[in-house]
Amino acid sequence: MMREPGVKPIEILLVEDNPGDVRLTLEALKEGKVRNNMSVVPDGVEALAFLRRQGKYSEAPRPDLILLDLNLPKKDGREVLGEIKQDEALKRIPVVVLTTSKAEEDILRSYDLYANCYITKPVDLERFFTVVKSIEDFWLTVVKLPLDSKA
Amino acid sequence: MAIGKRALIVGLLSALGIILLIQWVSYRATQQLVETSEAVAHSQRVLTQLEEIVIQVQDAQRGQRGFVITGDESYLEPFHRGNDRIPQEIADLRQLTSDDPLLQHQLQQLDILINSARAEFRQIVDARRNSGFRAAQQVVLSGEGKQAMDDIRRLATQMKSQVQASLDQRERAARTAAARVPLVMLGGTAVSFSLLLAVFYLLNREIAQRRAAEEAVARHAQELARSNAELEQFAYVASHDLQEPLRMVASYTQLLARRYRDKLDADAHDFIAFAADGATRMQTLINDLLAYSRVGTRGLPFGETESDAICGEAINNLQKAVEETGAVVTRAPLPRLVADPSQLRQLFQNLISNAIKFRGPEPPRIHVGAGRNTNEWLFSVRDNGIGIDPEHAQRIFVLFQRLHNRAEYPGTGIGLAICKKIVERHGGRIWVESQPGSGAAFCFSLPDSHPQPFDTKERK
Repeated sequence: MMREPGVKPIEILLVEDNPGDVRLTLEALKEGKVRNNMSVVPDGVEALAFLRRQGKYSEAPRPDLILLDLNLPKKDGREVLGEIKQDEALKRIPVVVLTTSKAEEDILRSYDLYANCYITKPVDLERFFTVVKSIEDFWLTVVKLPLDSKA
Repeated sequence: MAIGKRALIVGLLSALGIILLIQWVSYRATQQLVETSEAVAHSQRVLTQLEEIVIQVQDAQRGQRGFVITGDESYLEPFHRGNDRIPQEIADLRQLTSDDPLLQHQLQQLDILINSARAEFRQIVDARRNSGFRAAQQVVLSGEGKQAMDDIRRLATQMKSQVQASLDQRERAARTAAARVPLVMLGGTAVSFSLLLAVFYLLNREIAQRRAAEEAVARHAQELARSNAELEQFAYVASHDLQEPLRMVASYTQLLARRYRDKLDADAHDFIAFAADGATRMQTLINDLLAYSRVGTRGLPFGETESDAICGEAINNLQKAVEETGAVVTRAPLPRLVADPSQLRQLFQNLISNAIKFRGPEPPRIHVGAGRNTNEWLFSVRDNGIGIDPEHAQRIFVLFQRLHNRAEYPGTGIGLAICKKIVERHGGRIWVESQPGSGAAFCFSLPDSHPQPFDTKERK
């Protein structure tokens, strides 16, 4: 990832099992302005291990933003969201739910579990890129986050 | 079922009839017993009275004889007493037997006999008093007195046995009637009890049959709802899960075009364009399928709905198409009714947008109207477009059925299928009235009495 000396890159954790989507998100972020360091985990169990720095993730950085898919193997995205938001150490990290589902109950459920926002992945590439850029813009430059969410 | 019902009624009425018959027979028997005991008492009085009369006459005779023999007036006392009382006794008896013509007749004869006996007694007494013992003896010896007494006794006895005989007959009849009562009661009770049991059995069977039929219907309805729900669930999940790989196809095709624009030749761009177009169309299809499956699973509960305002919103949503085509959309005042407002909006919107899409050479003129039918509202969306051959009037409401190729009129052929599903969820019908070239009128009915949606099970 792009690293400039003296400025710490933004840490993003992408929880996504589909390599195609991982790559698309990476490509979209590559076109963005913000220097970032993206980590990817393929399921819910690994996501929590990463966040809690367990096992092979003992050296994992604390992310500034989590992009969370809902339909994940092993542990569902909804459960991961619930656990993050109940964990005193993790609950302030903004979680963006990024999923293909447009289902009303998924949207309601996510906000009930304190998701910071819910985004449906657009099929169109241009719009997908726009969405990823908006996420980056909004959460990483517009929003003022609490200090303790920085690692 | 009809035969069963008639059997039930006949059985119940028969049981009731038998119970009434038992009541009547025992009432009759009791009445007869009471009448008989009254008759016994009455007959006893008649017999006693007859006896009394005979005794009085005998007393009178005895007094007369004593006087004749002794000449002592004191012997005449029973004679006088008898004479005094006999007429009264006879009158009493006449009254007692007033209902029996034969006895009355016999009593008449008895009265005559007694009177003649009494006249003879008086004659003998007079003869003894005036002319002495001999003269009296002469009268006695004439023999008429004895004959009269014998006749009286014989007639009285005859009358007595007659009274006794009719009394016996009456008692026998009463006994027979009384003996019949337990038989009738026992038999009748048994029969009516059996009838009631049969009625009970028939009723039970009918209830069981009806319940079984109801259960079967409920089971079928449940089965149907379940399979419908499964189908909709399948369509929903399928269209949902189809989105994921489709996004990959569409996105990477586009990424290819974006990143390698300068490195690809014209053919490659054509191929990419076809792939992208296919992916876009497939996405539209999936979204439409999703929308179609959601009509049954994601409908709102019905509520009071101002269809006029709803139709206005639908027209507003089509503002862009209206402006582009110069369409004029008018509507009559539309009623307030019970419906799912968002589905009603979609219904109007689909029909009006269809009317705009299938316009003729003239700018579209579309009119939405509503009228009252028995127990339902009839809506119509009328246009001046290209119309539809009546031959295809049914086909257009079937999922993915299209009458025109995609180049002429874009679309997936799902709009009218959704309309049909919405109308049917509201318990109504939808149809089209049209001729090619002379516009079309899409009509649908929304019944009043349909407060609940025809929904398959709600998805969780």
